[in-house]
Amino acid sequence: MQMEAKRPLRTVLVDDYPPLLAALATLLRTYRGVEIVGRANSGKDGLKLIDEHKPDLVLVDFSMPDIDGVAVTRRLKAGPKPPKVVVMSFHAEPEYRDMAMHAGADAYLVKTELYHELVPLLERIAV
Amino acid sequence: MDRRPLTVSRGPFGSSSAGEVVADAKLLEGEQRVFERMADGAELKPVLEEIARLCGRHSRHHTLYAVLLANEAGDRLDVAAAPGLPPEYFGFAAGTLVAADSNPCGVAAWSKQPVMVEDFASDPRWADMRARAEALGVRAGWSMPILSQRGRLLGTFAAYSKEPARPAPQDVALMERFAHIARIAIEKHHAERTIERMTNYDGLTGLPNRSLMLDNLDDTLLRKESDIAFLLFNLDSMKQINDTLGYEFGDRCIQAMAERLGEHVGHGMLARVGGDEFGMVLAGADIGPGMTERVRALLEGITQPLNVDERTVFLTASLGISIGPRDGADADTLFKHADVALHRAKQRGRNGFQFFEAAMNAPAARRLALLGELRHALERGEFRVYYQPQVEVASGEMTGAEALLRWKNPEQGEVSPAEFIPLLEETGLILTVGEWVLEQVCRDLVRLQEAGLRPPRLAVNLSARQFMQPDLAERIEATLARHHISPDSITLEITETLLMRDPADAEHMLKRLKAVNVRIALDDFGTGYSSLAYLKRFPVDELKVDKSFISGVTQSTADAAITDTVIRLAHNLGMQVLAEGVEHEAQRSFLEVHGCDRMQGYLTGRPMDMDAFRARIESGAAHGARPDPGSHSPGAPAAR
Repeated sequence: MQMEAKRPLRTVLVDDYPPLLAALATLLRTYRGVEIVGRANSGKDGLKLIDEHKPDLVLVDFSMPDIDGVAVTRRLKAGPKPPKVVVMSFHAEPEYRDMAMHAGADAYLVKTELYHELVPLLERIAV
Repeated sequence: MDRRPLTVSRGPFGSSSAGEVVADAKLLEGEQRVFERMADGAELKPVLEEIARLCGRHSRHHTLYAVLLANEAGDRLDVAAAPGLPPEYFGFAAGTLVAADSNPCGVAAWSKQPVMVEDFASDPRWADMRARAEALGVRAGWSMPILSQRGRLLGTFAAYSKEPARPAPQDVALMERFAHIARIAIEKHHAERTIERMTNYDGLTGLPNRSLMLDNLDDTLLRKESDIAFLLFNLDSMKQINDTLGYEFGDRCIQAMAERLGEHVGHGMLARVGGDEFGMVLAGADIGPGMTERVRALLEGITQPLNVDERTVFLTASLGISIGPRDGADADTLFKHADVALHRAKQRGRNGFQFFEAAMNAPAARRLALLGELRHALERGEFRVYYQPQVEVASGEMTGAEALLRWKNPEQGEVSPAEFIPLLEETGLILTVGEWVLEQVCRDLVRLQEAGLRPPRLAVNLSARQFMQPDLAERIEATLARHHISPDSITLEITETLLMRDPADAEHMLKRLKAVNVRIALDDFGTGYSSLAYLKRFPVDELKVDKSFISGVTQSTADAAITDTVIRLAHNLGMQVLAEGVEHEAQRSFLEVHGCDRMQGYLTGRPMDMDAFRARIESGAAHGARPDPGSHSPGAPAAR
């Protein structure tokens, strides 16, 4: 298990706003703890990709028109061997965080703080 | 076929005074119940049904009563209430024409006189009605017009009997009595509709107004059947149209646009929510994956030419969209968020649209993208140093230049320093980038000197983080020494705000920098709060008067007074003064008159790359001091 902890987290990104997906990919490009195995623009496509790749980690947008991040989290966490899930949103209010955490998310990140908080958070999650 | 009532059955029924209704307690009680229901705000149809039923109970014959209502144009009738009559009756009477050759109700409505048919089976004038009457099991039919107080047609009150019957005066009186009650009910209903229209609809376009739309939006959200989209349109150029072609024409443009939008609304709801704003509520199949395409098509439709008063106008709209419930669970929030998105769409240029979610995401995504790119910008060589000339106000000679950092990223393009410098500060990257700038300035100075030119003194900005480095003075000294640059050919610019944050520490640091023998300028002077006690103790060589004062010196006596005062203050403290943001000759001559030493701005040169800067130094050396030939000042010519 300790050997495996060094392996990068195979990660799927899900957000319906393409520039944010691109920015996340840029941010994580040089971070060795993560390997991006898929990106999706909707909850539906995200679930399909996750089913395909069985990633270790999913970064998912809170608000998406088809299946939102909370619903995606709930579905993933209801299944066997669920990945770690980080829900991202621009809402800093605690209600949104609570919704994500109740659905089983491992963490909740406010999008404006992604740059400073994402990598430290991934360091914590990887353990 | 002439069925005019005069030839039908005038005689004893022309006047109701012949008959009297025996108003027993039951009748009065029934009538009271009807009025109570009206007062309680009951719908019109059940009230009319009750009137018809009540009339039936008090008639002498076995008679069934019906109420028909006229349409708005007054040319057709439809059944509103016909308790006890067979379903076929509704079919026969639906859309009855108000005309001289219509059925008895249509004729009564047309002539505004009662029409009494005693027997459909035997009356030759109503032969064409015979089959229908038979199908309904009806022999006699009497109809009485219901007229408003002003004599406008509201509908008809009709009676049908299974037996042939000639109406007795009291029958006519009974019908008149109930037709009167029906009239009150109908007029009340019309009045309520008018009030509703006035409070809920826009007078110009007939569309629902903002309050009705918000109610409707709340109802739709409560039903929770599907996601809904709220689209907020703002017509881009209505103010211009109103100003140039007049408000009446503008109003007709609004009407035409309302019609145009109506063609696109489908099952949704369209409302006029402001002077030049429309709202649209879409639900179900209209939203979801294809939504963006649909919105694009909608905007395309709006931009098609509109014909208004034989003129062709081209209108464009900006559009903000919020999706419920994810962007807001109630109408007010959705409206507010669509407005936020609309605002952003307008910022990005007209004739565009923006989803609220994306509008909120965009700054976060851009920030993240810029931060991600900034980390590698230096190693990828994406930064450049530009130079903006600083000239003597009196002679025009270039005696300095400010080094300005520029960033061009392959993904993000040219990014404004106002956007990326705070990010450099936030991440601490400003330390390495700041050092690189000083290195680059040194390299440029060396290149210029090696080319045999006499470069002016170059000014480098120091950021807050750099200024807080304890070994800053030593670092700068070492860098200059490494390039064999004389410290007095470098000016360090430090903002007033930064110095006044901790003036005691700042004084200490400034003295150490001064000991290196660099020149020190106080940047953005006048925008922060200076302590004059400290100002006199700071070893500052030059005050840079902020451009916000310079832009106003020729219009605002206050700005002129401040600038004049700062010039005197600086001179009295033994400092020089440089005016920033000088764009017009009038500003320059003000500065000259008031003894300002130097200036910087578009009038004497925009920030330029190294090649242009070098050419500028060369031309200065060849021709003496001249204003920048390449500057395109928007105001007075730069010639002196």
